[in-house]
Amino acid sequence: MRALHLLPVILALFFSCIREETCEEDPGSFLVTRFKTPGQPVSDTIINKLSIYGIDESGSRGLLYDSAQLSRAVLPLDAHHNRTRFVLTAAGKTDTLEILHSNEVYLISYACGFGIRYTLTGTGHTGQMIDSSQIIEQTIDAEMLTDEEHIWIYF
Amino acid sequence: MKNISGFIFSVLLLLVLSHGLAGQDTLRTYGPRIGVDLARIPWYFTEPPEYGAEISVDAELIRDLYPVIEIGYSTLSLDSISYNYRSGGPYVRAGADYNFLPFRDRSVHHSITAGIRLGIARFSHRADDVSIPGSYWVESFLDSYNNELTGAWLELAGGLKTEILPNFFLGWSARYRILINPGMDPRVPPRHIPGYGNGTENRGFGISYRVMYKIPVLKK
Repeated sequence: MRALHLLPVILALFFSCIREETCEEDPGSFLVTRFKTPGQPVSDTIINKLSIYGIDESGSRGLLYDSAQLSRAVLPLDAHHNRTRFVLTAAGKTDTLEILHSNEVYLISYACGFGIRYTLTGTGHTGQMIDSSQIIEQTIDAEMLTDEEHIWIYF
Repeated sequence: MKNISGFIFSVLLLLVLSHGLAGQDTLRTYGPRIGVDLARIPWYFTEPPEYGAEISVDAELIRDLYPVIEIGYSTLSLDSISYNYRSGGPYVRAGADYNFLPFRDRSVHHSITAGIRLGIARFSHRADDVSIPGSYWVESFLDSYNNELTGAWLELAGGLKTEILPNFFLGWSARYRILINPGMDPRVPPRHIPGYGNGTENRGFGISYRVMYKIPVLKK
């Protein structure tokens, strides 16, 4: 009977072999936009020599894409505000894309730390390039799938 | 001289007789058994450290059935480059153990038990100095997070208790825990639920190792 008191020591050694958590996520959360051509059916499109930069109250924040050939763009949202604006220019035309979103801090994992989860609430544009835009997936977080798309932009 | 040797002989005889009588005692003692969990102590030295204490009270109210209550408090601190996390609070487990060890001699109090518990913890968890790596818009994002939570779980327990000295027991039990409300905080799942363990996992294991003293209230 008393020898059985060694059993919890063995069990404790077994359970102490806890695997160490490692971080395999990029803690950034990014808006993925896919470019489309309106019509039946809707088809993917490529925009040549497209430049994109963000703007806020202080003005331009610097180029994100510089005269690139793009069918999709991965854009950072502003976690301090509920509105993020991007200026798109190509072939002498300019448009401002406006993204409305709510933001919340959430835990990615205890190994990776915290990230921002955005919920898209609306889109808008002012200019001649963009025909319309459509929210495909409302939630943006750090656990992004490889084929994840959040907004389709029709040119 | 003769008186002294006679006194020593009388004392020795009394000791031998009393020991013999104790061995022939077939009465069983009843009363509340109070225990302290020693298995909490090694967690003080793990990374991250978990500080806490737990006491238990059980009693054989019906033959071989021991209602039990376990009360404790524990805290866990986790310091990372990008956040400092704290979780802590009191907890209680209530349930019963059943003794499967058959003894003809009811004065023997050893037991091999299996039992069930319902555990509830009321605790707070918070993350301070949360730093999210900078992006295009901001150099870095700083925040803090705090939430009061209630965790509940079921626990299956199996183990043994040995009476090492009259009314003093040493016992252990292995625990399998099932979290009843794993979605208690979807935004930040708790790293530590007092009395349960890692709240990011819906199932858990645990071990208790107790020293116990039974207050002999009744003998029959």
